[in-house]
Amino acid sequence: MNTKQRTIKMLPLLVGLVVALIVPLIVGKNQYNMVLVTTVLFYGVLATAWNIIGGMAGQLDLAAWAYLGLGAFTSGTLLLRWNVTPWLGMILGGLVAAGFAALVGYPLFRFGVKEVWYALSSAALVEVLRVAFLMWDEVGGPVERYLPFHRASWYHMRFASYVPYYYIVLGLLLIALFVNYRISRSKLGYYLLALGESEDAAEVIGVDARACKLKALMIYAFIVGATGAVYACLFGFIHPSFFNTAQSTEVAILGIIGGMGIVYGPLLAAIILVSGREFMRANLGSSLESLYLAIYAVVLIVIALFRPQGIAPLFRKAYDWLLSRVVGERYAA
Amino acid sequence: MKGKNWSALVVVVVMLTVALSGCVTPSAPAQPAAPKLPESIVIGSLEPLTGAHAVFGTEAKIGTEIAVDHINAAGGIKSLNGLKLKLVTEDAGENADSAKLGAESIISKHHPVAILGLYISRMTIAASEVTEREKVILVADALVDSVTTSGRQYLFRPAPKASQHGASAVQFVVDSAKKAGLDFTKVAILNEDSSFGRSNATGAMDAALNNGLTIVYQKEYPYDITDASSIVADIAAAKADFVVHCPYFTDAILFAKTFRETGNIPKFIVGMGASGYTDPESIQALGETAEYYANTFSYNPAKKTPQNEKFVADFKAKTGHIPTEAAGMNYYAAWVLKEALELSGQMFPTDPLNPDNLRQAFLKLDLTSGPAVETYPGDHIAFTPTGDNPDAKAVVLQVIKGEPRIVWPLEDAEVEAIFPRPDATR
Amino acid sequence: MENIIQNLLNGALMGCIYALIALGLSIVFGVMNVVNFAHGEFVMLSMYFTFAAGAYWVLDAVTTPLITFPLLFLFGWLTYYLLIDRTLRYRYVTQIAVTVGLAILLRAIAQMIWQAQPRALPYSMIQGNIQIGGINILTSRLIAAAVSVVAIFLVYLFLMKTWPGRAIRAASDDLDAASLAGVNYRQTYALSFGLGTALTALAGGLLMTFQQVDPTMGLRFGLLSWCVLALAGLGSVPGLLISGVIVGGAEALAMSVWDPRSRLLAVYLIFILVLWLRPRGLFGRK
Repeated sequence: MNTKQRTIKMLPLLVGLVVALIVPLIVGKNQYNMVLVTTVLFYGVLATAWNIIGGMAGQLDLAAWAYLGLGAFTSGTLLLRWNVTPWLGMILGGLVAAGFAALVGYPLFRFGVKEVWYALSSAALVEVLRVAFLMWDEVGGPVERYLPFHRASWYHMRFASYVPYYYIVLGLLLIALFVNYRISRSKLGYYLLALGESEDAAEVIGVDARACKLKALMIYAFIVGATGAVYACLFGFIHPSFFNTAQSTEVAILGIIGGMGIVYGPLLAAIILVSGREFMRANLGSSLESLYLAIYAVVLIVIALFRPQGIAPLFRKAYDWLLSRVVGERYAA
Repeated sequence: MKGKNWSALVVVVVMLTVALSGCVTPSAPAQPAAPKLPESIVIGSLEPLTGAHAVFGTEAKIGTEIAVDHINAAGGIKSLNGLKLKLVTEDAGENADSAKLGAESIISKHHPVAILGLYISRMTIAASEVTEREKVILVADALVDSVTTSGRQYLFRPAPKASQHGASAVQFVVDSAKKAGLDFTKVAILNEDSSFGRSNATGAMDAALNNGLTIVYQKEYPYDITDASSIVADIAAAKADFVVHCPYFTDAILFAKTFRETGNIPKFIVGMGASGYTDPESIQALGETAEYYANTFSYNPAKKTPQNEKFVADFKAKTGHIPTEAAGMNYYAAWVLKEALELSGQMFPTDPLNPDNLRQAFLKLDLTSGPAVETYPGDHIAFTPTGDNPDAKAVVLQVIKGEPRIVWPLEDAEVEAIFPRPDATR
Repeated sequence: MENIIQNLLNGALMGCIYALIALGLSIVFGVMNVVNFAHGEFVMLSMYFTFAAGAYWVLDAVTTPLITFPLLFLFGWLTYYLLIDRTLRYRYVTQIAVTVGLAILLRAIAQMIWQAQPRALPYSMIQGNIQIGGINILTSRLIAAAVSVVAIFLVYLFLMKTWPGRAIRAASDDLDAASLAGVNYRQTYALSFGLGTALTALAGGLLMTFQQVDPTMGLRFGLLSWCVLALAGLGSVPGLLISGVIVGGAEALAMSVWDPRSRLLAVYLIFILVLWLRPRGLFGRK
């Protein structure tokens, strides 16, 4: 691949980054649009992180919000009790989530829980944590714990405007994409892809499936946990309802619909589906209450049925076609 | 080649831009300082219209709609040349994030001067960060005590708060037992495990201790239980004289049926907080099993005033049942807002819709008559600086012959409470 | 002590209903190997059908399966041809995506038709109680338990002794071999998916004697029925009954002895532990 080709390949990334950076300048005045793009990017981070365990390692994890909740509670509690800045809370929250992932992941992989049973046990994990935090009155409990309200405080990561949050979440997204990209090019990535295809075959060629899966799970949990700390600041409180099975399933669905194992796939699905859904909610939600959910569900079903490989390959084809038209066959594909 | 994967990012960007351009709404011109008034005053109803709490939000929205119709039919805001109200509605979903998104959406699209909502306390607090920043008055119908203790400047709650409900439920039983010459000493307190249930139970526990009662059973349970028979068996084993229960909503039906089915019916069962046992929908769902159940209410559908009778009639014509609590709370909340707008028009004729002026008007409100009071549980509306009305009273309704009737406070009672339950088995 | 026995009994009887709920899933997953994440929503739908039939024809909830059973069979049969059939040759991941979509769709449709308010039928004729010593047995739960036992036994006989039952099992063992041997797998699968769905009609009818239904009801039974199935192990239809009783009993005991809030904690911890320590379930065949 020569330099020119590489430039063409990297072009979309650069354009995307530039556009993402200037989005607040275009829509920053309108806070609704800001919170919408932040929410979309937020789901993008979760789905991109999910790609590591779900897409690459092929473990259908349905516990995204378990790790998110752990990160949110760690960082939120540190802020409320000891006034620790959420910037540190992010790291610690990620570590707690990753530690917890190791704790449950080890026996899960050790005892060979896989496929649908792995998915179900991770879903059950979310509920277990929700109930545990609901009963744990010192840290959780049924009463919402509000983070201090500040119009703009970098120390507390509390802002009245969404623009700073947008950039924080964008930063997380770039980190998640970068980690994904690095893993996909590393030995771990090849091992994961191999065991995502067939675990037995991978073990035959000498892949330590257990260790690889555990690593993938912990990296994913760390990113999601750190995102959880930001989530708590964004919404201004922590509550056991953060441990939410339905929303966890949604993250996995975004990963599946986007195209499992493709770095940018889950992000693509998050951008299209989440913004589409929120747009419909804003425009249809108050007249025909559940119509937008029905439409959303039908879209999910149709994509899953007719594009089981996800929507990312479609977009790749479209881009290659576009490229071949613009710069000629030589640089495309 | 993996590098190629990035290529699709350009498409992503295009999608993002398209999605955004679809949502961008033209921002309204800045409010001129001159007394030039808009064509109508936009107020918003932001309620959970989908998801787990949709049942409350839908009722609340209808209550607000009828109130706005009535206010406009009665001549709008008189101090502002009869300016009419224009209601815009939005779905707040079922989570804190969807609530915040809904608040941003309704404010950026319509620029309302005030928003009524969002029934669920954690959604209300999440949305109130937005209304606070944008300086939009939030007239809350969420009852959890902490809604008004988080230091919000532009938030007002006309309805009685949750702990007042819990205390009223206990006081009602204590009063009724005294009147009937019965010695009730042992109480079981049960609530669903949300902050709402906890607030109610706290009020009930304080009231029970103040009245010298013994709490023989006190538990929280998840509202989505599938079977209540073990809890009912435990309450029976604790030998409570009466049960004070804060259900979420649908679980009230499960408990009522289970109390009857097990034959372990205590001498009295009273629900506290919001809906539960005496909601028209519960009564409809329960049939004869609803008989003798009592529940506190933030709205008095039986209040004998012209305004209230008109509201109940119109609500019945629209939905087929009498107003639920969510509908009633929003009906009088809309009228309270109307009175505040009137007052703001008198106090600040040059800029009545300025949020700070409107806030001043809310704080100066002192109502003892008019449509707001006629539909209000209590006879005095005035707000403390935190946004609560200490004179709000929870009333107690009891299902008698299939109809919810006001039985407490005694001075407002329509009929005498049937006390204790004639079908009690213990 | 008496109280603990009372609670264990309540839990065990409720557990029989859980077994009945999981029975449909055990055909769909245990036999057909189709991952259905919308099973809870099927139960929700059957409860709404029960409500509609009961309210329209003024029937007691317990008699409504006569009407709802064929309706749900039809619904399951159609669902199979419209959705499930296309997913058979993909990985389980596609089935999860499709059935999660279906679950969201059913919830949305339920809210559009019946609104968000809870719906319930009047006090059923089978409700009441029998006193034995100090123990209070609920008649409706006792009848429900009996119905579950009979239904599970009949399904077991159907799968083992009848020709369509054997065809279903043959098809599930090897799709291609069964097609070669002359089994039309499509019809067979449609039949068993219809049956798996229709069985929720029994559970829905029994649940509606003492429960109410709202659009989110499915969430309460979806994961729960997978737990019962995991505990029983695949392929063991009678084992469902025992695992249902264990789940129900654990739930009631946790609520009574520890804390009512811990109900799901107890159930899901058992579920996770069983997956770790005995992935085949207690009575699994493989």
